[in-house]
Amino acid sequence: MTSPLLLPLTMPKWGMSMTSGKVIEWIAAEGDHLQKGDEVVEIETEKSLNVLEANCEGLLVRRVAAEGDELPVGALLGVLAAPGSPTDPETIDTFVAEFNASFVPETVEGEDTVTGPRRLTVDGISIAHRYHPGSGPPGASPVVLLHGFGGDQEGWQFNIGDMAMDRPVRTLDLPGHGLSARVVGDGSIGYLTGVVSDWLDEVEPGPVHLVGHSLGAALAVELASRREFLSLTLIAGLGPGTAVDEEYVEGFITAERRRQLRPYLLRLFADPRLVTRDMVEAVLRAKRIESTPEALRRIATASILGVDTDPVERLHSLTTPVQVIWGGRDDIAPSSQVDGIPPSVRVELIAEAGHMVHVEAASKVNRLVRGMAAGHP
Amino acid sequence: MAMKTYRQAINEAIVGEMRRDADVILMGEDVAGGAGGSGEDDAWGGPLGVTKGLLSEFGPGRVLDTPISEAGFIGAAIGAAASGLRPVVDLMFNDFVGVCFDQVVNQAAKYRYMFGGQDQIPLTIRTMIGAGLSISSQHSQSLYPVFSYFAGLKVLVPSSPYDAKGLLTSAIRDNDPVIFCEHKLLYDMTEDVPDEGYAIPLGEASLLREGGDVTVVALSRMVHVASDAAAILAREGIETDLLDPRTTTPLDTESILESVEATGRLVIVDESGPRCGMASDIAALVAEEGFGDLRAPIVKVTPPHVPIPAAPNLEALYVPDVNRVLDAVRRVVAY
Repeated sequence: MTSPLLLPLTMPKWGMSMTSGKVIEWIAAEGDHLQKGDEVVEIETEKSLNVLEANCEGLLVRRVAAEGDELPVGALLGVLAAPGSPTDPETIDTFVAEFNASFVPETVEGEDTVTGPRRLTVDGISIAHRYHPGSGPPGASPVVLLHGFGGDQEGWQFNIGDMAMDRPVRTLDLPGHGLSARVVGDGSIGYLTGVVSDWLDEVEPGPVHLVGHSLGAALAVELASRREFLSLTLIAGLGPGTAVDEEYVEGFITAERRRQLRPYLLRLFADPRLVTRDMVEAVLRAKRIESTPEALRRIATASILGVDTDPVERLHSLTTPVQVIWGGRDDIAPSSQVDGIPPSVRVELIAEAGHMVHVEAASKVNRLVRGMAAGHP
Repeated sequence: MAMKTYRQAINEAIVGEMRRDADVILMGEDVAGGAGGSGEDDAWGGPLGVTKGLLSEFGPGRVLDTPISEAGFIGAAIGAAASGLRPVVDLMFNDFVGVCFDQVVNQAAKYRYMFGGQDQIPLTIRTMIGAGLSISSQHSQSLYPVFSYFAGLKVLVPSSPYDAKGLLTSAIRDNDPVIFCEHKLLYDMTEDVPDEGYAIPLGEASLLREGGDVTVVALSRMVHVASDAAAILAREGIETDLLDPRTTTPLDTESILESVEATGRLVIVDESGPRCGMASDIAALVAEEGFGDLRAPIVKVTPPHVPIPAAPNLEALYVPDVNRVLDAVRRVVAY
């Protein structure tokens, strides 16, 4: 890109299955001065009709895409000029030509479908995982994200983009979750950690930063006693033995219908508006896959409810740099558990967030993880 | 997970249940197709290829072509179900139910009740519904309200490949007779459908869109017509709660009433007729139990009370379209 002041406006990626979108209607006209958040263009995907908003201030100098165009994610829709940028047609033409010359639509390597994650067989079971190369400097150590109980790697959708600005990001669906096989061994932290560790041996044998949410935090602590990590970020969990509301776990596993499940998902967030129809439907669909409730129950019994160790004590013995992030309004795993953890561990309490801190306070969590990683290269 | 058609999704549900349970058998006119004739054994898999490949996997002992006699083979399937099998039987067009009406509504539907629960009829009748192929009045009706009239039958009207697989799985596992209504214009619709087995509970409406200004209840193919309308309405600032009941018996009355309680406005989009149809039934439900929540009269969007025309131009006028839904919603919102 020739001018840092000309900014591409590109086809957004709304949801994991979106590979392209159709330009329905331009809302902003060429010459409009846009503020961040202003509506620019209406995009239709397979599943929804949405409005793309400006992500920064600027003058809309060129509408590149025509109404009716079906374009891949990342394709150039238009050009914004930041204040002070040249806006003569030749400069913009050059910008558009250069963007299009270097644009490669997102594809997934290997035998996998274009939309889905990649698959790898680890310990004999099929694991779905993703790699986001990001735009960090070459050789930057990657960050690995472990989701919580009942979730999947798509739960990091508000985190991956920011984190990938510094370094590659790797995610997976834990056994029994998302698109991975419903095979969970005895459901113990030992079993799950074994699978994650063997996955890391395959895809990322070098040093990485590890981030875990809730059950993922328990796995992260267990992993840290088995192999070296550059840093550890534990979100809404301290490690094996973290206190979790039993009624929530039971209700989440047994809920079969939308109206049964929704109240449990509401408990995950401080802000009820975050529990959307799409979220409820996605969780229901994952839970309906045969043998999922059985797999979840086994994990819950062996890894969450039946663990009789003191997580705080365990943290004392870790030599890896650790930070803990917790929502002040966590209704699943009470934040009071952070009392008494060693002073060497940095604790960030985000007062207004619930259990899904990384969703509700994504930018804060992203900043903390990026800071932690930057501080321990 | 992969993109699959409605046709493939139905096939996967049958294959999955036939592998899981040796009592599941398949029967109907041409469900194998060509068996016993000359040439290859596994021919068409039904007139629209839905059951392709089943004969070669499960053999002629479990995939049975029947004579062209609904009274005979539907009756035989009910008998097989009463004596311990779990048949999936293909009543090609739902319009042909007239030929075997007694078997379905007087025998299958009432058997468990009349014998005090001592026996059951774990039977699934697959059948095609819907207009749109210009195949005339006797091949284009949507008779699920007729089936829904009879206590003892469960009635399913899947609108998508994902729902088709999950609902058919539940249907085959259910211990009561289930009428599974496949809309003939949906067979080539694709969406992500898990490779693994999964069951969708009967009696739960699917919420396809969360709005708050108006409740639109739509069934089968009309879900897509209503969904297109809702996308257009959203651009006008009208946000729709779009509900697909998915099963008309049992009917998820709670979801409908709860949505109307929030929106105060109801439009029902249904391809079955305007008289004694599902739209009338749902309108009556809300008028009876949710009247106090209504801020505008209920509007039904249905075909007119006429036989379905074969002429393509007339058939297109017969079936509700996006514009009729838009008019109806704008009307109740402006009321």
